[in-house]
Amino acid sequence: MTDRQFLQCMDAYGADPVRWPPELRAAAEQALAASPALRAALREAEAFDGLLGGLPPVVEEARVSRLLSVVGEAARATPQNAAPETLMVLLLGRMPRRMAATLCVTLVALGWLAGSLALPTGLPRPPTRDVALLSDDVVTLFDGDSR
Amino acid sequence: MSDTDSDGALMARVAGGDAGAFDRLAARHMRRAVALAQRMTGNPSDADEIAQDAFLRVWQHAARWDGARAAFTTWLYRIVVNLAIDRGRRPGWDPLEAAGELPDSAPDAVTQIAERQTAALVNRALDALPDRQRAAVVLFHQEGLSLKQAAEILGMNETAFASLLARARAALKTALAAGRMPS
Repeated sequence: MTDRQFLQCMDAYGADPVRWPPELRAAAEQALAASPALRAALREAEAFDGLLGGLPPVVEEARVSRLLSVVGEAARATPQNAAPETLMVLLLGRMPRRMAATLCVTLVALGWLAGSLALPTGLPRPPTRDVALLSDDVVTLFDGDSR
Repeated sequence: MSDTDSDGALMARVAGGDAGAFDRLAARHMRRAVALAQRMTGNPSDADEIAQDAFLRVWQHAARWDGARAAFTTWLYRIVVNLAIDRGRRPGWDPLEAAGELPDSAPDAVTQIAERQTAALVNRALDALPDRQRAAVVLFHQEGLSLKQAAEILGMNETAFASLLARARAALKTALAAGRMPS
């Protein structure tokens, strides 16, 4: 890791290499051990990180107890929502996502295969009928008046 | 902590309507949830409301939590952060100047004043950040969460989170350099 890369990481992740992405840590420690300039920069960054850490908010025991009492009562007075059940879950039951995805792909493939077997490609297709709606046939709920 | 007393086991019971399990879970995590909400809002009364609302949502939607996808604390902190961001977007919302309480062991009055001024300056700079940048700093630097945990809470990958954090740190550095830092 070059000095420049070290400084970029320090700007991004802060002054504690232990909290950097694991794959960077060993190289960062090596760079730090080899460079007095990086160690000086690290001390400055530690001071900045100390400011960002701030003072922890005080949460008194009485406050926590009051909140626990309130949420406990509220929970007992509030019905729970069931997990959202999709049609597939209702039909097939719960299963891992990967298995569900595999099942869906298989069903689509089977449907495509069945369709292509049922309709030989050599046969003429039935004619389609063009459908047009006359304006008088369309029911309109909005009369255009914005009121 | 035994398996039957783990967050996951308690959540399974909560999903089944066990209010006692909910009480245990809330007792375990309430203090940290309130502290996180207060860090995000800078306002104790808002923090209390957010924490209550967050735990009520845990109760209501317990069946939706999937332990294979996220730890309970990740899910809870995500709820808290989202509620705090929503509250900050309400018209008329005004965070108090909450610089935190100084510990009793502070050496003397001058040091206390200097530390309070510094904390107020940092809080103002944090308040001026976009919501998610502020959340990144709170989660990583103030709550001490790992890159991975903080990224999961904000629903992004680690690379995107690192970029968000870097932008936040750069903005704070500029803001704090522009302000007068008490020595």
